[in-house]
Amino acid sequence: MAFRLDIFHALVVQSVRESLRQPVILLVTTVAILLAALMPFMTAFQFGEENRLVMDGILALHFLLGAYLAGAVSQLGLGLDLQGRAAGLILCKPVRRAEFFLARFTGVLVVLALFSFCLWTAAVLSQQIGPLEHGEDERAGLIILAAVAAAHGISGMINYRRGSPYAEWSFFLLPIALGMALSFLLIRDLRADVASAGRVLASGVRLLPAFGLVYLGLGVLAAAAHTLAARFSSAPVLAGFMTLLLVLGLSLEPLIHEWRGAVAESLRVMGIAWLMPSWSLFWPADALYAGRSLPLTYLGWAALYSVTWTAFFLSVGTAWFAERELG
Amino acid sequence: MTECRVQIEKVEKTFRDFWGRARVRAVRGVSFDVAAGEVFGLLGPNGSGKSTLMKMMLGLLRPTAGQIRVLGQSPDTTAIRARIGYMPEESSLYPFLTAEETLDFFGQLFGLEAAERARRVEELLAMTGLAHARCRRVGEFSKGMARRVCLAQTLINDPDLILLDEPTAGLDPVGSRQVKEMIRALAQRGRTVILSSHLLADVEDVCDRIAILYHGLLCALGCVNDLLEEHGQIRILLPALDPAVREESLEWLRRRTGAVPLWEHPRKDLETVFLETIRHAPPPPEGASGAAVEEEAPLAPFLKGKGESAPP
Repeated sequence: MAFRLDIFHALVVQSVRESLRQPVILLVTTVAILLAALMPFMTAFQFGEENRLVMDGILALHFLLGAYLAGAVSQLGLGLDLQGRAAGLILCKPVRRAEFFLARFTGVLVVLALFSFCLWTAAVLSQQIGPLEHGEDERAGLIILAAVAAAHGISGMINYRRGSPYAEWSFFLLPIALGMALSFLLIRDLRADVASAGRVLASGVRLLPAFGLVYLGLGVLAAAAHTLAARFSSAPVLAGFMTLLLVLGLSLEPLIHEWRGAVAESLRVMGIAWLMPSWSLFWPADALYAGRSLPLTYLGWAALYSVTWTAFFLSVGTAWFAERELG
Repeated sequence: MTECRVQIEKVEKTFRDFWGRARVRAVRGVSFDVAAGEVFGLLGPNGSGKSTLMKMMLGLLRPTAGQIRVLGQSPDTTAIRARIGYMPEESSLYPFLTAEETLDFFGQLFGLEAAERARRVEELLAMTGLAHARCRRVGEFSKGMARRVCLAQTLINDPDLILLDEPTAGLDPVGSRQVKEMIRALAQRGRTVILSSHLLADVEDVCDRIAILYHGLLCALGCVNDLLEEHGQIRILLPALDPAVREESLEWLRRRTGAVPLWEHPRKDLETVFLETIRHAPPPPEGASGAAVEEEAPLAPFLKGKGESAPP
């Protein structure tokens, strides 16, 4: 039986819908946006480093809460499907195991893409709040809060009147509301000062590759989480493995640096370097310092690195899942 | 010769632990065939291997030894699953989806067109008495209502082979009666039904043949009537007799046969009494939450075959 795009599409849509209806996913996304909006107000450190601190903070939020989401969506999706036996109910239909596994993963990527878009918009907006060189604009912070409140308020009304799922509507309305808030700021700035609107646009364009890079890293983490969920569907076990992977991946770069000094170009160094993905490669904060942008060639190489690791994890996961008995 | 829909040949299933050591022998050398249009019952106490056998027929579990052919092919063949409907022992549905979304999703997995899907969902919701609860999340349903959704998803593809694992578990007597009538109606239309249950009365009501499993072994196999009939005894049913006439008749039988005949008033079964009570109960109040109780729930038109199905 050939690959059926309509069935794959149905599985992806179901995966996204089921994930977005989980209140914890909405909670994490809303908290991330609010923290990003409040970040300029929270920088106690001065010496002209505010912008960098704000951006470092938002990127850290993106990476860490994104990693949490990658694990949570995988566990709430594939993990619960295996524990609750919904996977068996789907796989006794004309659905291949690989189709089901990969469609579930695509669903995780879609949720992460929506999350990343929200964070990118919040980051562009929060840049408008506290850049010292242009003067603080606290109203921009209020606009972010208003956008979040509007998304939740409208979903509440829809839920009250039509009984539609609150969490799903809120999650879909958040990027729309944030996008509208950004448009509002641009129009306002265009009327008052064209140069200021240009700065907002330039900031957005400059940050986009950086958020794209973190998203690529999150894709690898999601693939790892999804693969682990195929084998260890219990949440605490999966969380343990994910934490280990995250910590090892973060400490890989300094470890290699240390060892290189002692044993130059040794096989051990090379082996460790290829044993697991290094998360520091997806950390663009330094590249964004002093108004610089992330080189697109670096983004290209990072995409290749990310796709290679993702493909590796998914191959292992597909093989595990194909062998797994669904009792 | 009747077409064989399921062939089980010397099938064994051993579950292993992390180290690959045999932990449980769930099924031990079981063999039987199921013919087209037959209602076949798998009977046995908990842990006797009924569900394991069903999951092997679906390719969800792989036999340790032996061979299984379903609709003439290996259960691992993805394409044949388009002709199978499966109702698991636990409803295993997505709790955040509504009843309507759930059925629509499962319809999509069979590649049904949107209009056809919508028609089938509508008919199945009506058949299972859930039309009024279509927009409620399955997670909010009672166990019985979730079972009805699960039953509806089993039939969305109008399957040739239907596997029902404890189909009446969690259903009220009305729902249970409807499921049994539906099984008989589907079998009359040539569908093959395999059901597992430890509710003996349900199996007796609907099955043509049964297999009794115990500790994974096939202990008995045959037609329900053959297995249940006690050939050494007969029962004569008469209208209530005058006590004098009754005693005289019993005395005559005693003298004539040398046996001691027994008499008793026949009893209604509890299911019949319950259904009569429900039939005479006042109608449910506005906004009642349960499944609609209609004793004569119609079989969804699309399940009646091409000739009988209503046009979309």
